[in-house]
Amino acid sequence: MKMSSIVRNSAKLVSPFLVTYGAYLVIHGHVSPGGGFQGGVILAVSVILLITSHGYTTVRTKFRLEMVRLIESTSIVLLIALGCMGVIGGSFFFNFLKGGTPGTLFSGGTVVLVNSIIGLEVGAAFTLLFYVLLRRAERA
Amino acid sequence: MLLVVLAALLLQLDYSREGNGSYAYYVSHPDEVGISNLVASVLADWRAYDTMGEAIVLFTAILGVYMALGRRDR
Repeated sequence: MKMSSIVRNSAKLVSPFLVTYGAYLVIHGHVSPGGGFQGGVILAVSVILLITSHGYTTVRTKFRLEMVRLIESTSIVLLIALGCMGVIGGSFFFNFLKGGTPGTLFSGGTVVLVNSIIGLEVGAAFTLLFYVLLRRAERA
Repeated sequence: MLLVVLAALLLQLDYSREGNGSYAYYVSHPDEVGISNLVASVLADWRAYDTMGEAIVLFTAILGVYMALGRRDR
């Protein structure tokens, strides 16, 4: 299922900027409004926009379902491993990298890592949800 | 017996809190928080355990959808 060439070209034009904006929201989540969940949803939307304009069978060749599944499973393991690494500082999810002047990018410590992992998890989860539903819809 | 010991241990902990909630604590201890976004500080630092639970809930939901609908052959 393909849309017209205007829709396809504008979706191709907008999608990289959506990836950039989502990455900005995730990485700067502790100094400005944003965070892991919001940035992750925008990362997922950049793929879903390509799916709605180009069709699932075209997008599937670039963003493999196995890769999305791997990212989703790996990020949840990384999050639990990060929590266990906090044990060396005293407790579960202890912020052991804390430092720097407040307001700068490196002031968050593990907050940046938690936000990045949550962003990957949420983005991969929503993309995988659309993949699974669309794979079933196109088969029927 | 074990429950009584555990309860005695847990009651010994310090449950005192700031009078006006977390925002007053944030204003009065800016150096201890050190993160300029209060929402991100609560979500990913103080309550990171809760955030991990949310991520696991999402992972389990997607896992259920994948198990129910993601079969290749039918």
